[in-house]
Amino acid sequence: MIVHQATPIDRALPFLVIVIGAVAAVTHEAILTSALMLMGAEIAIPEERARLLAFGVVVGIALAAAILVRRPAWSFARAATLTVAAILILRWIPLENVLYGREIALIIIAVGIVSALRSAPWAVALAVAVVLFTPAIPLRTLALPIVVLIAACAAALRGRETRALLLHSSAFVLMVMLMFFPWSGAFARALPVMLRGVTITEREPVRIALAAGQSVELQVPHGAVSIILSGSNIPKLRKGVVVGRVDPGGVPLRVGDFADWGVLRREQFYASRNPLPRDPAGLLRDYGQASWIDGAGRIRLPKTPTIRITARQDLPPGARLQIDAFEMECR
Amino acid sequence: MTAWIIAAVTTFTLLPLLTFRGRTLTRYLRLDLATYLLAWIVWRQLPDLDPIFGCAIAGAAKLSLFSLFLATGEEVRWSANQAAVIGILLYALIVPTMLRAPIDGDEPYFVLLTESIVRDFDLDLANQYRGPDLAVTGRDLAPQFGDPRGPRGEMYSRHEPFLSVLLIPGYLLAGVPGAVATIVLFGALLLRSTVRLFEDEAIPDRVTRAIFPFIAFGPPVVFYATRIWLEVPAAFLFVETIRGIRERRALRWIAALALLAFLKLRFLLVAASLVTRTSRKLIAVLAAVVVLPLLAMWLISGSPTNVHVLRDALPPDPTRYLIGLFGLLLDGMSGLLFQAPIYVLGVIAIGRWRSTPDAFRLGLLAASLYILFLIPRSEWHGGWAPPLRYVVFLTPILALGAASLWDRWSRVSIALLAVWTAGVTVHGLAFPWRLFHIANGENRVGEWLSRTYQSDFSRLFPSYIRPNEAAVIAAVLFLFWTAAAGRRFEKRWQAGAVQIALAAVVVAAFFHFGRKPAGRVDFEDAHVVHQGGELYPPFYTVGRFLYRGGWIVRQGDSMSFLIKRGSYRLHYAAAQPAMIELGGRAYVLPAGGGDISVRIARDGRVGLRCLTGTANLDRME
Repeated sequence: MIVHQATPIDRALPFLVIVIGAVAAVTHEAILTSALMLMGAEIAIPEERARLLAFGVVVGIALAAAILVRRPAWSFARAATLTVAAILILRWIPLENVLYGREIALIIIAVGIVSALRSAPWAVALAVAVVLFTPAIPLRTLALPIVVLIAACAAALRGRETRALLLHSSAFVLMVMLMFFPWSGAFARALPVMLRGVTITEREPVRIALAAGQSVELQVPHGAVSIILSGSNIPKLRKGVVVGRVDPGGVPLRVGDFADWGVLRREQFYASRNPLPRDPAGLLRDYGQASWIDGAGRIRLPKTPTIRITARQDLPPGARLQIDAFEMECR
Repeated sequence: MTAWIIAAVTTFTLLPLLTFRGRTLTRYLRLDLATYLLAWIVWRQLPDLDPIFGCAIAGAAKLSLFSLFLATGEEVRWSANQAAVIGILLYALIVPTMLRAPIDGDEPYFVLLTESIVRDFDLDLANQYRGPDLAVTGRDLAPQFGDPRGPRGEMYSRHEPFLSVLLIPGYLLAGVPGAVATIVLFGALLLRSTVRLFEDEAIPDRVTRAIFPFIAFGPPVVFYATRIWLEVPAAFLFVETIRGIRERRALRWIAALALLAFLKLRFLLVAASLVTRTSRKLIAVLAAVVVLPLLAMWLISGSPTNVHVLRDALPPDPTRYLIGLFGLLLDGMSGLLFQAPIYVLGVIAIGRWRSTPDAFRLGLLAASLYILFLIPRSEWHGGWAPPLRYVVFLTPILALGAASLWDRWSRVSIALLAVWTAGVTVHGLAFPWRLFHIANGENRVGEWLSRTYQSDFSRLFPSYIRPNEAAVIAAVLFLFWTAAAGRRFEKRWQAGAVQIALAAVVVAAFFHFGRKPAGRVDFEDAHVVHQGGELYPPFYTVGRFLYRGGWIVRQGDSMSFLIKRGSYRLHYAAAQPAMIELGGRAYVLPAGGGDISVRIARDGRVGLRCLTGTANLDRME
């Protein structure tokens, strides 16, 4: 009855409410009020970005509060429930993208980490973070949480005590991760970009892809301040490799000024050698664990009426230098 | 803006340093730092968010955190004076947000009166209305309806001058901001007195600390303590009166009561209610308390009752009592339930009369005559003023009643009340001009949803200004809840999960039915998509709620709205015959007014176009 917006996050509201209900059951019943706040946000905020962020803030605060409440006392059940809840929210939306076997394995590993670290609050944050930042594609990326689990077991065997001091930091870290659950995939793979914020600016599309050695002269629209570029089929190129140049001035365009357009997709992320763009201009795409930011970067324009962009002669086969758009205003 | 943000950071740093100690302070400061980081992250994600709105949300979040620690912290410095200091700091921070829009309602008249007193040493505003002095108010003022006139053309204000006298020092020091600062001081005094009242009535400290943020930072006090209205000084004097009587300090309560009556003659009804509580020795003094303000007003305006006449005191149609009473409690625009729900707990405490604190019973009895005279009046909702104007003075007493029930309420209910209260506060701080409403039967939430979904959500909020079906349902439910609910029943409903589930069902049903076509349409409402035409009576019409509202359409103007199929009566007024097209059929509106029969063929959005002439369309039902 409530869900009427189109995104997978909106459609996942009943799932979120169930997860929050489970969290409230092992911590404090007042956390249930966040379920009502989610409903309120769904109804009252039509603008998608603000609404999804509101969901994130509500869920983040609810889980952080679940860590901070003093009663009932910390127990394995409470820590494990919080861990599983956070992972479900971060990795199981949208449901159609879930690789069940791997995700269940990740949950088991995360609970193992929490157990090995004696159910400390910071263990919850650590386990959730490790799982969040594991792409799970390819399968060998599961090595990361397994290594952490082994390290946790080793620490447990040596009898290290957990520190209460980390309670608030753990709550905060968990809250920030969950704040971005509507775009958890993008958050995991482009953390600095997400924290700084993905801005949507006014753009004039160009949509030209230059193959090796090709060149194009473009009229700079009035008011344009930068040009948005990205690569195609260049995920194996390392930082600093020149891909083309901008004239006048012969300014080199390097990997690092921008990245391969789809490199931050979950399936391509692990195999890529591209760094995040220095001045990212990519847009947020998709939702939840499937979300990603395209690898576009922003290049300041010289103050000339026309520019020429040339792709390097010896680009790898199939590689393209993509001119996405002119950006019309400063951020 | 930058200066305000620096002031806000300073205030939110000072508050915990002054209030918390030891581990509570350390824990608070850690979380406080986290809120700044959180605010920064959110701001980066939503660069287009209105900065004032964003700051209000961030401020409310920090205040909520502070309130949580105040209520639950183990090492808290707490006293009545501490409460006053917290109040001064917070209100001083809020004043600039309130002064973003020019002062409104009666406020500029109080300032104009002060201006007249300090410049001309008189109460005659004739030269103020004519001259440049008007500029001090930031408004283009004209005399108010019913203002008294002197024999030589003097123009007096309908307002009693005592508040304007109190404003003089602040006004001389800093103009309008200085006048507001005076009210801020009264706000702080009110908080101090309220905490002392709670202490006198043996309310546990932890309960006082828990309920204090609702009183101090929640509506209506937070809005009236930062604007130029007499309600907060009145609340302070009322609390002092009650405390004085309880402590048997005659001089104190009589002085407070006298000043209360000088503030506004309507508070004489409070004095009259206290006659039965007074010893014979003090009857003469109490009589003087009643007579002196009347005498003063007679000297000023030529009438002891100022602009009031005996007819005001006569009981009109008995149904008006029901409307006013339930309106004050449940109205979507100006009722306690929606504007300051914490005080509804105080109303519910009336049902447990014997177990409530003595001061609560005394306060309610003292206010009973006032309430009895208030509720049948057409302006029970406060008119052009922030919500709950006429009951602000009673809020400390209602809070005392709420405090007596505090431990009976689940934490979930308290959390829900807190979230709602924070929302209302944020809205008022970010958009202070929206505290004033034309009282047409809608409220801000209803209007927002109606505009967003172009469907009539306002009809689902109980309105006693324009009584609707929701008003009847709300009244019945309220009576059922307070009177019929037995203890066992109540306990069952106290479970947090049950309350949340119920609330979720209510919200879901609200949203479901809100998007369905209604069986009535008021043409001035927010859900109607207007293309041309104008609101009637105009927005700033004095006492607009006294008129039937409507929307004037001329040839070519059109509108559309969701409505159920069926037969309706369309109410209108037209000087000349007009013709409209409604749902594909043409209807002639004969000259004059009244209603015509119209038919809607199917559920859904219907267009209405004015084909010829001009008509004021009121409603279709």
